[in-house]
Amino acid sequence: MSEPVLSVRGLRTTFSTDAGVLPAVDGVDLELHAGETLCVVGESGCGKSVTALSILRLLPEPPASIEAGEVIFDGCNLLELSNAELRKIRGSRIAMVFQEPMTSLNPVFSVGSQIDEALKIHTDLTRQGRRERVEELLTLVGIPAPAERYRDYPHQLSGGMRQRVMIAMALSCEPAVLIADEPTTALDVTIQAQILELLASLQERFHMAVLLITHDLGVVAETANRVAVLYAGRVVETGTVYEIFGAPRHPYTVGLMKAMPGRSVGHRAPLHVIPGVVPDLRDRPEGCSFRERCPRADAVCAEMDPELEAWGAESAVACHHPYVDERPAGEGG
Amino acid sequence: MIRYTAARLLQAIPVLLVVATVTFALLRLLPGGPFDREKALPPVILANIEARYHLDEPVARQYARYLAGLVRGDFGPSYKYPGRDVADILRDSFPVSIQLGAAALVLAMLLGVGAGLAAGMRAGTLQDRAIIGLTLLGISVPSFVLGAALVLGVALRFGWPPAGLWESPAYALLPALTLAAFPTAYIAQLTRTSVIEVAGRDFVRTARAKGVSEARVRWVHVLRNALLAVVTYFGPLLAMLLTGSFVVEQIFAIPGMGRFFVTAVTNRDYPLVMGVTLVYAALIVLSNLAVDLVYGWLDPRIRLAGDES
Repeated sequence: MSEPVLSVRGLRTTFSTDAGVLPAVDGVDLELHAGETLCVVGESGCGKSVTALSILRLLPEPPASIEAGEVIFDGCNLLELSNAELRKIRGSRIAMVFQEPMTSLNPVFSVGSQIDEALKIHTDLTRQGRRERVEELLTLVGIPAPAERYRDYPHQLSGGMRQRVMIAMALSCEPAVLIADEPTTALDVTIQAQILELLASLQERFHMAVLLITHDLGVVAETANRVAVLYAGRVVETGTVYEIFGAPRHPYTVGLMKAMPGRSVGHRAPLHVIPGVVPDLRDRPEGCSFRERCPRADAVCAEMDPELEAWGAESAVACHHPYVDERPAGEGG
Repeated sequence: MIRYTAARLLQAIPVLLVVATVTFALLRLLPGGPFDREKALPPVILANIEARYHLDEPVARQYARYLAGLVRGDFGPSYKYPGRDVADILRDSFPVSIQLGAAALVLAMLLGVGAGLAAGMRAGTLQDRAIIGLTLLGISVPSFVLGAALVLGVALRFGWPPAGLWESPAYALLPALTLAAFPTAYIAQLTRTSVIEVAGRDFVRTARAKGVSEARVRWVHVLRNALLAVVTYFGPLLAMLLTGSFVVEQIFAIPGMGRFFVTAVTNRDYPLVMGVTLVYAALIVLSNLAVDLVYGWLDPRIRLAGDES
């Protein structure tokens, strides 16, 4: 496979709170290749959003602190860049779309001027050129009558329209990487589908790599090329979307798949749930952090924290006892 | 916008009418009258005086007479200062009070917003804590203490700026500072809280994600939203500066309107009380209108009635 456009290695992000230092992200590795969609999935609090925000160093520091790891983009480590250097990448080479279109736009500026701001920072276009570009972008994301919408304020638009504006803003400089942090979670189901379709078509058009953060496996199935499953601040399994859905190996991934409504065998079978809760970040258990909820856990799991080990060309799993039933034998640990 | 302003100005007329009516009624309900003296005046003289000011007529008639005068711009004579019209007194003292109030308002806004931004933009630092400490002082020291302290510690020690009267702009310095202390501190706290709250909102993160510089994030994205809270306070602030100027005008012997506001009531100088009250009421109506206009300009979510878009 080609060189990744963006790779995250050993990322560790902590929050200092009154209760102590919480490692929200604790050794995450991700690779994002040109043109692909990588979905990062996991439960609430597993570190998905923190990972996404750490890439562009958008977390308020303090309380957050990126303690270790590197984010390699275009041959340089984003975590070591100066703020001025990083700003040249933010919004231009790597752009973000956030979860809450209701609050992610500034209420006192027109949506056009907010898109224009990105162009003003990153391009040499004239005022007129930027104006045309903004209207073009609004058309591109499916907003009718762009010249009129330019002057609209965020409160005059619906949630779906605002998310389209956010996408137009993110795409304004044709970034190589788009990070979308739960872009559809706050929207109606029908609007969700439209936004996902829009993202997919724009991705193809601009040949962007998309890092999509979500907790919705339905969204993953529709959009992902590859999937990374996060649990308690770590990647526990990565693979192509076919592998993850067809032959999940990590017991946690298996549990997630079973927990999807409509996937249980039998018509009115009760919804499957993974027993227990995510471990408290303050005192992570020794060994594997999933072992207390895992049907396969044994003595080894209590002693050793499993490393993320490559499994074939495109996948990896961090487990002492992965499900290997559907796989050719020979590997595993 | 023009239609809205015109409509609001028209609405001010009934407001002022109600103020006039209530004040008129309250004054007549007060025990005592304008010409009560320790040594009672001979009844004939008293009757003559009352007849001259139409105080012998039924109250309803006096009320009608007063309103008719108002429409013509006639505020009536002052009982306490014979030979002077209320309009004359207001004409002399109102500009002084307005100058003092405006100076204090500008000071409070500039210093308060400035200090609030300096604190809020650097929340948690030593600078922030020092400013919070100063604002506590500003809020808790009463104006008569601060005024006296400024006279003693500055005016008398250094011989400048002047500690009393009202002759040139320098005379406004100490009284305006005294008057502005409380609102400055209050505005500083309000601004600081607002800045900190706004700085944590999602759209600030969006701006950073776009590559907006830290300075622009603060001075464009945060500032405008943070100022909304401060503008809201502008109306009550103006009212407070005007009515609160009484103490300061006393300390610095300033010939403003504040002293009439109090002495006219104890003197039962009915027309003067009415005049002063109506001028204050009109000012407050105007300042509220100004606040609403500024608010509509700052915050597009507020659409002023009569605006079509």
